[in-house]
Amino acid sequence: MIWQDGKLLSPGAILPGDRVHQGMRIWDPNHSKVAALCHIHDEPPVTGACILYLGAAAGSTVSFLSDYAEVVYAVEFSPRPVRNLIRVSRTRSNIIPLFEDARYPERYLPFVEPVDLLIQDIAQRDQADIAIRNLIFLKQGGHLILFLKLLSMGTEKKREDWIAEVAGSLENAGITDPEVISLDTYHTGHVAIWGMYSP
Amino acid sequence: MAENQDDRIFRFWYEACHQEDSEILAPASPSWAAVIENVRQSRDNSELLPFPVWQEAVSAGIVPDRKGYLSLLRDVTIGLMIRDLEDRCDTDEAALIHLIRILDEIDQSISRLSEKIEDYYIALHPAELSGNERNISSLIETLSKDQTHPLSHLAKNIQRLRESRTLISHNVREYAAKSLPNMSALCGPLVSARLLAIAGSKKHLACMPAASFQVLGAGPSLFMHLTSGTNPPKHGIIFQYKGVHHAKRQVRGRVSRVLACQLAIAARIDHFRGFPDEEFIRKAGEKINRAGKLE
Repeated sequence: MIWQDGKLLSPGAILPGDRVHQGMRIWDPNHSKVAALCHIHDEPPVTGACILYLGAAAGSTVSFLSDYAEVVYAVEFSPRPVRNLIRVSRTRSNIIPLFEDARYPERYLPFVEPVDLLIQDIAQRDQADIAIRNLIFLKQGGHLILFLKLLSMGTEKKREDWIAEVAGSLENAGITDPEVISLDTYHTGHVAIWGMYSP
Repeated sequence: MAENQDDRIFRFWYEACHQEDSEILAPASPSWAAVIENVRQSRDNSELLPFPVWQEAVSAGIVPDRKGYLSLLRDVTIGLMIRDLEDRCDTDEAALIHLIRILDEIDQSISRLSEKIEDYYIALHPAELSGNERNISSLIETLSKDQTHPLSHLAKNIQRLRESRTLISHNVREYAAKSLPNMSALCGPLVSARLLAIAGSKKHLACMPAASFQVLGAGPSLFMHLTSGTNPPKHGIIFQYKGVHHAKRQVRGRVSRVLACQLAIAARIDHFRGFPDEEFIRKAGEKINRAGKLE
């Protein structure tokens, strides 16, 4: 990935509203959790990869990923941001938008191929469960990055307990050594859980 | 040829783009809508096999290479998406949700602007602020008649905004009576429309427990209660119903609870039956009235 003057840059076509540095768009860690992960921890293996992104929303993060990746399958189920997602994917040939509920991967199985990287950013109570259901898309040795929004998990348990529970259930599902990375510097109340899939 | 197409069973999405005369379809071609419809049907009947392999699409002669495969797939999924969006859109419901949002926004704009005008006027005419004889609406009326005043144009616009507010509120009433007949009979069309706008759809509303109805729109205080144990909110949006905010303080919680229970039933009738149930409305109204009386 391209770094310059401490900024993460993205080589693709510039969209309206993007800030530009030396002719390339800035991938802002305050707006995108993937960029925040790159700033705080390490870069995920996105270059040339085949990515499944659950919870694509309006497609801003997806547009940055598509600059590096070979193809991004973007799943989103909310009708309002989907319109923007369509607009973004019309301008970029390697974004495949899917208007489906990530809880039911069987609905989009016929369109998606096995992927190297599964990124999930869904603020729902059953976030971990959704990720586990979508593991069928991951190749052996592929990476899972799960952005956990702790506010959506309910208030009956403490933060650490939720993280431990999710990490535990991911481990049972075949993710080896899920690593927990706090994104609090850029996104309050979010953590990333990153692991490799080897069932 | 179209008849043949309907009989075919597709195992992969790209087979639908391939026709007998070996012409490959693209979004510009006239039968593209039929292609999307075919893919959609096969998907909904779960006839499609998982994990398509792009090399097979190439060897079947449908796409030249991986790039072509991806761009065709993108065109198909965009088509599917738009088709699904159209399918999910309930025009009456969407109109109601967006009209009530517009209405609330207009209300807010009117009151903010009027307040600023009043501030301006009071600052320039401190002698005239005595007593209540000069309220905001009469002030705006006088300003709009005074052609030379710098704010007369704005005042006129506020009056016009009020007119459009009335028109929109008539529209909202109409739509609410049509799509939420039982709820509107219980708590008024505007309050029911606001409940619908927060819930997002009639289906969500029908699936909600009565307790959620009671606190719909009181999110911050509800979460304050859940996280730091303050008193729970008694009412959210339904406070705007006159039966709740005119009730005595002691019984307000009870009225809003009973109203929420009846609204939950009404929402289900609205969603699943879709027409007013006079018997239910009468009984529910009685229950709500009874809850509002002090023993």
